[in-house]
Amino acid sequence: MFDRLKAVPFIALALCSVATMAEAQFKSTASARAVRNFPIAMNGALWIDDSNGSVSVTGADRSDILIEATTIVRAADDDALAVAKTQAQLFFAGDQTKRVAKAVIPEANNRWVISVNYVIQVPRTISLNIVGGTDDKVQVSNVFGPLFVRTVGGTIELHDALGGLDIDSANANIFVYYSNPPRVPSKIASLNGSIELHVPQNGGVAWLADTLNGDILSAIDVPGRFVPRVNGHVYRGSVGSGGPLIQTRTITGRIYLLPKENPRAIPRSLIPPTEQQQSGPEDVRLVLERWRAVFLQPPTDPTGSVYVAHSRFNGDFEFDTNNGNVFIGQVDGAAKVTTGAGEIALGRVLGTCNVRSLGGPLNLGEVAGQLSARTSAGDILVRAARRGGTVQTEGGSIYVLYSGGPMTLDSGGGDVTLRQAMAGVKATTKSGDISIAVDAGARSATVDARTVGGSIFLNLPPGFPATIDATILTRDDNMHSIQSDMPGLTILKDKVGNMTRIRAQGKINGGGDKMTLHVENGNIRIRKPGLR
Amino acid sequence: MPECNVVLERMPLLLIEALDVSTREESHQHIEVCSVCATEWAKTRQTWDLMGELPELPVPARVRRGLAMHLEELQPRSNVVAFVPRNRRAWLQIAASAMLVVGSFFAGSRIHSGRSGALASHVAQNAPFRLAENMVLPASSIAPEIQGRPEIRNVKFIDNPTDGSDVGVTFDMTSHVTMTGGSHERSFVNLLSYVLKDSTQMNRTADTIQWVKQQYTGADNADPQIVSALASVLKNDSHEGLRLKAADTLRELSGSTVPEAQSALIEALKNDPNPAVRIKAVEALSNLAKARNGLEPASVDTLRKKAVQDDENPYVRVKAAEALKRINL
Repeated sequence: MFDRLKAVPFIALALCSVATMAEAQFKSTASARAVRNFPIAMNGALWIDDSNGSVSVTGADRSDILIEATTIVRAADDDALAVAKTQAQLFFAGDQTKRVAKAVIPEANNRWVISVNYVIQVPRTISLNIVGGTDDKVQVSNVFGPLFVRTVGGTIELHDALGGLDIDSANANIFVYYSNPPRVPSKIASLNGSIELHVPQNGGVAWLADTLNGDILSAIDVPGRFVPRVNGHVYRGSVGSGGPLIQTRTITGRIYLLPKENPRAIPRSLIPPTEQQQSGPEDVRLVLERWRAVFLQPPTDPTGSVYVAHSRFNGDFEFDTNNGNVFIGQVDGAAKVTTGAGEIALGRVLGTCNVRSLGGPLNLGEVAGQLSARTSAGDILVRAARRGGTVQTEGGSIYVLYSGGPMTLDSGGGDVTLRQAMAGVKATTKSGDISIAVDAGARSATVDARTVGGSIFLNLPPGFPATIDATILTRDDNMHSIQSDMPGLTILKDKVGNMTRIRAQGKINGGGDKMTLHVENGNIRIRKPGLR
Repeated sequence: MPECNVVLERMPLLLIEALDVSTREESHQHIEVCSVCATEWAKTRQTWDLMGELPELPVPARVRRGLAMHLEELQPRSNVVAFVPRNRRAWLQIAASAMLVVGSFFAGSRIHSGRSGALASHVAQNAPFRLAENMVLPASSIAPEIQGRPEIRNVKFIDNPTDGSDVGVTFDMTSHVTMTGGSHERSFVNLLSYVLKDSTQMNRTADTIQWVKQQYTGADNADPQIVSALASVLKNDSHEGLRLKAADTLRELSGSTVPEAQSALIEALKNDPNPAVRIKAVEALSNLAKARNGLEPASVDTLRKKAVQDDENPYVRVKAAEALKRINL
């Protein structure tokens, strides 16, 4: 297929060099134009691989491909320009069934930037495959064949591309205009960009809009329904009598359905607003600044998608969203917050606190009431759980500064740390260290800690009475051990299958609350504060 | 006459004269008439001679421990073994002599300017103290005082050392070394990298990584060797708490352009079973994109795939999409 590969070195082209003051950084500019003409079958395919520049393809009544490629070099000075000119190459390859146009250019640097712009005319029926770069503008019009586009950014503009569309971009805004209803199903996706779909108001299409964290808006009456889903929103509807399905999908971008006849029609969101959203968030940075003292550490990404950011709620606060971050400075009553995907940060809660995220870190300051915090993924930080409670993550670390009541801490993988326990603790992790420090003022503190593939560090205040039952199961008893700063423990070793069990039992300071520590392939350290 | 392969098999026994007379004679006759075997025999003898010239090195303590452990496992034993305290009397007798040597070594190696009577050896004065698994020191190079209470185990005496000395003593010693200086000194960086990378190290806790994070955070402060060691932890460690810490620290150090770090982050984002590690990997790549005004195509591709992966945690997907926003447009 590539036997007719032709390399067209940039320097071989008729190069016109014009030093301009186009940009402050790049003072010298040069451009070169190459025109090529290739025959192609009516059902042939054209691949355009352009890492930087624009691509404009127009369908026409012809039986060949006409490619006009303009290479533009911008450089800091004439020396850099001379070097940069030698760096870019255009390749045209293939046969009548498949043609390839590829620009090979080095990565942009602070000395020069090279881009290649294509203007192409093709037979209407061929299939087009366009792979673009970070700031390409891709424009395709008046084609009937399948169209495949992949870009990172820029814009994608399609006019009457009536064949099946397979469009996918990370950040590009995508505009699709249909003068007539399409004939075949299509898929259009942009992770962060918006998608505008312009269709005839009475035309027949079925529409599916799927967004995880964006919005779905329409200026056309499009009867349909939301497809139930835990995360994000999926709406399926029909324009007119329906027709081939056009799937539009984003993660954070908006999806618009607009009438071709009136592109300026004002669209409305199809997602029902919640009461909290209607109230409008305060400036998130202000909220964080005001309540910085009560957070254990600032929320990880205050610039991310925020649904709610308030400095204070006077009463109870209850909020449930599919996606989004929730930042609240203080809740005077009870707090109940659920998000499908996002971070929850509550500075101070005076009542009970029940927070749940299907994915995202939880960052809690002072919680006066009973605490229940769960996330499917992410770390959990708690400054103070005055009445104790339950903290659970399916993957992530748990860090609690103070617990005034019984605590249950459970991690699916990650370290668990409780810096100051005034009451009993049950701590488990599938893989990670557990560190628990019992406060000297604790009258009673039963500890049950279990980890696999980590170690347990238990700090007991001087004179604290405890009954210890510590067990290590290990494959290497030379590597793992139980060490205690306090006397009174009897340590035994025995074999259990192919593992060695090291067990330390005994009473410290006359015996007291039971401390059960269980480790697989790790160490146990029972320490006095201040000792290494 | 034996076949060549039979003679080749016999060569080790031929070297040590372990064959019976007739077999030995038969083998030598074959070697005399067979050029292939003659060449092989010459090479074997040469190798044997060279091996004899090599100095005898002590077996590393770790290897010895491992071997002893395996041998112990092979022996029949009762199910329960009581924890027996050390025989302190016998131990003290052995340690008394060993401590003299060990403490003296430390006195010599840790030079204290204000300490009178320190017999710092010329070795300690002229050469830096070297952290090593095995070292051989002449007694004359070790000061006689003992400092602190170094823990000494596995003491053995050598009657005829190979260097011509009268006696020798080998032992394992656990001692506490304090290193001071700048965080970018090669000694520090090498030690921290070693501690982070060596999975058998007991000291490699979350505290170590935390300390590394504090010391080396900052756009121009990330040492490539440290970043590489953290990448190794992220990639290879089974301890999820440590992987989380490593990813978190790489996030802070992501101004660095160490290729191993990017590769480890991409690998973690693709395959780490812990979703929190994947979240931190996304955040680290996002910081990297911000710092460098862009990302490599492989990173972009991974983020893109993550963002649209239906069975991925939604927060990871959103984070991946948001990271792509930071790519320079």
